[in-house]
Amino acid sequence: MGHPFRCITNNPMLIDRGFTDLEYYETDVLELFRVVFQKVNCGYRLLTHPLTGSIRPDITPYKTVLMSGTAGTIDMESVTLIGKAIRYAEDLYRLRDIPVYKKWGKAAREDFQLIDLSIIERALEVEEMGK
Amino acid sequence: MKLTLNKFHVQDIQFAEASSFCSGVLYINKAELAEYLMEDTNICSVDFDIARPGESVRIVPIKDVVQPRFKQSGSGQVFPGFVGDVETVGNGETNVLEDCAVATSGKIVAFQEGIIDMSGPGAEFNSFSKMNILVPLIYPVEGLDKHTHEATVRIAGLKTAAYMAKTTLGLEPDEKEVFEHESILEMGQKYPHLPKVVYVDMVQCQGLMHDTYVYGLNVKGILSTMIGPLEVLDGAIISGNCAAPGHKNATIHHENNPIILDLLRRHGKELCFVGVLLSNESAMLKEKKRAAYYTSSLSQLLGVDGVIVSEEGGGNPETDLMFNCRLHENKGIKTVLVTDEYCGRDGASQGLADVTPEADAVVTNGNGNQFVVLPKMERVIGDIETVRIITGGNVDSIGEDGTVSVEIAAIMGSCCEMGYEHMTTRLR
Amino acid sequence: MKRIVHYLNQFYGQIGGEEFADQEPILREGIVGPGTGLQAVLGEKAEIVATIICGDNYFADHQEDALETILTMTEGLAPDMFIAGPGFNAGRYGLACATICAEVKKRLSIPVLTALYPENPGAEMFCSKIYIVETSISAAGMRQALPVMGTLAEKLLEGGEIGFPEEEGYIAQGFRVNVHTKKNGAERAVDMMIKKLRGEPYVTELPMPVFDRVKPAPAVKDMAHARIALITSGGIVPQGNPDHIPSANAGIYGIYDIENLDRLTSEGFMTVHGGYDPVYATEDPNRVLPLDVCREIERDGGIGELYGRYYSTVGNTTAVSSAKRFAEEIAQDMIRNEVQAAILTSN
Repeated sequence: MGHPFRCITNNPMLIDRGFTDLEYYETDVLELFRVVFQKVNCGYRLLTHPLTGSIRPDITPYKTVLMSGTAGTIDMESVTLIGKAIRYAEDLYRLRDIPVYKKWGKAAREDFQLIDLSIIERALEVEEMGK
Repeated sequence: MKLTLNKFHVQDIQFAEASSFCSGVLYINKAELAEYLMEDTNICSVDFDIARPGESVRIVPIKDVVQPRFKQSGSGQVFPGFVGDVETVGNGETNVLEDCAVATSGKIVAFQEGIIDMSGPGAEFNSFSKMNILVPLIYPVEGLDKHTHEATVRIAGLKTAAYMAKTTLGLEPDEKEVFEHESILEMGQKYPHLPKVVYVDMVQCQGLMHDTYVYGLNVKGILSTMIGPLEVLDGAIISGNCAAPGHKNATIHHENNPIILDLLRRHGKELCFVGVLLSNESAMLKEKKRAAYYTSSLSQLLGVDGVIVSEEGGGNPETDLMFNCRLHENKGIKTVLVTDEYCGRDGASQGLADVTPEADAVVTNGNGNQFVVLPKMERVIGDIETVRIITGGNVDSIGEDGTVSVEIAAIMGSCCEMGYEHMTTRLR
Repeated sequence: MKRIVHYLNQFYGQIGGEEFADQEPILREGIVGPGTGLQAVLGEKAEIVATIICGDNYFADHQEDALETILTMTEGLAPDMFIAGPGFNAGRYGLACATICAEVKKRLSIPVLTALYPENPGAEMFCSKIYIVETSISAAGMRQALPVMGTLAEKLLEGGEIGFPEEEGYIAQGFRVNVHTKKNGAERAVDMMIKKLRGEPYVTELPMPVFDRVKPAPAVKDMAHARIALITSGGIVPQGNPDHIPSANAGIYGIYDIENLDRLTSEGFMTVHGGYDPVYATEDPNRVLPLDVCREIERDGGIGELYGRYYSTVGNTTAVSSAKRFAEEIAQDMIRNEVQAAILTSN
């Protein structure tokens, strides 16, 4: 990347992969978005769209969000995007008494981790193309 | 440029000693097809099954749906980059098996997805239930990584589709449809008074099971570009997208891109269809912006009056959709957006992950959160247990009586955002 | 013949005008006022057997009691349906019509119907729970409203399928449902494109949420000499709540004197907002209306002066239409008092 970044994630598959500035939270995707919201309000910018991929936030247990490595003045675009993502996720979480993401077995969870990792690797891969 | 689609209506598929197409019946020699597919040494074994309209059959999980096509004449071969070489396609004659499809099935990941019900309430939610479907069940060699497994199944599906359509070579089709599309400079002179319209096809490229290929090239990292509408009809765009079956664009959707087809049919009459722009949907915000800026700049270079923009998937692609909308409208180019919604079980939630006030002309292809109870089927092709863990399904989905309660988001193509199906949402 | 109970306020119920707004609920046999027009539409299909009349102020100030009485009266009549209004844009009346209908539906499980102007707070609050026929802003639309009410009432009584708002005349409830279409989405998109390019009217299938674009006023150039006012939607009012600002769905705001105060005390002020735990605001109302900090800034010359009165209401489920009205009136008052900028605190 042309500038340092930080990874906000709840995906254990990202640990020990050489990501510097990795912040791992053992929580669900909606809570992770709320952590991201706090960071956005401290001036960190979103680099990836919070709702990466096409697997809904109430279906996948895992999500990684790339943010700027340093904080600046609050970026309004990041504020609105994370706000919209939180609202979208909240609505989907309410669809069922127990959201789908809570019910997956081990094999499925690992596959969701793999997809999330693949999405982040792809995002960074394309960033590399800018060098 | 001119492309003729030779349409052969399929009434049935049957396994036989030799592959042929005769009197509406497609006969398939399983062994020969299997041998062809297993030229790919990543495939350990393959089996086939057939699903017919009206049968009490459920196919699940489904990875891709492909319509059999094969070049009768003209340059290149269908599915260039995979079946065909990279030679440009979209001219001559292409033989098409209508009312017929290939639906690839197999467990690439533990949460595979996509249902097609051939009868019952589920059958109402896509057109595939009215097709004769061949299901190749691909079993990979041990230890194959997921990326390779996905590619293996994808290519096997395309090869199967090409193999099936090849049986029609030299035969007289049931009907023909001819598409003509001039060069842009020509049509500018020919139709000075018709409004100029471009179609922006937004394509996914976000990683494993979220990819799209054009002439065999993954669209990650591409700058927005142009492609001839007739090329798309020859399978130049292929789906590597297995996430969100309800609104991902399967290969059959690309081959039959309904927006391209309708624009071609009205070209020279109510409008001038300038062409197709490909705009990718990346996970990175910078890429999203670059794509929208570049696409709207191309539209401006072309001098169009309006663009129709379709998206693939939901969530972050709505941001691409709104970026494209805003940037085009700000340049004075009118937009129509084609999408779908997740507005909750009761339809009361805000259905899009992103919005913009400039989006004043939107077509919606339905609410993916609608729940439907699917009855037990006599036969399941694939693996019914996966419905427990399918998108839009629920671990408790399968009832005592074998009924399955799912969101229509789990049904293949139910809310296709190219507008392939006949559904919308209305406000009560 | 199906039985209907009709609800009206003191005015339509022919008791009197505003002077009778404190009228307690009373029950009259048969039809009163606009019920005549409604009955004419219903014909032989249903009969308005009784009319309940209640004063708008009485209902607003004694909602719980009024509801109980009205429900009891209604239950006693064993009707097949309950109809209220039409209320047009009358705030208190409209809210009463909708509230009562919703309660009757909940408790007696019979179809209910009222008719309001879409921006009536009653419509905003209840359109998703009950059917509300859309009316014009004033009673001039009575002749148009009654036939629509009557027709929809018949359908509700029959238990038949209720169509879409455009067909049946009710205010959209906010539920988007999937429907089959003749043309596929692509054809509809191309149709829409052609219309839009030709400048012909078209209807979007998915309206964007309404973006209320308020252009911000230019920045205050000279803060050191500016007069600043405080506003709160956190419900901070003088002890005793002299204006009876309600704990939710406020229809009013208050203007209170702080000219000689350095800070708000818990003896002098309280919170009436029903949407948050009041403990901390009760202990120290400055936590919601930061008078103490503003006085400090005023003393230090950060602002010119703090305006000697503050504006207060309760934001808890208050209708957007009400909030808009308050803002317009408050802004006018501020301009009259040469206030240049305001700080709005919520909770």
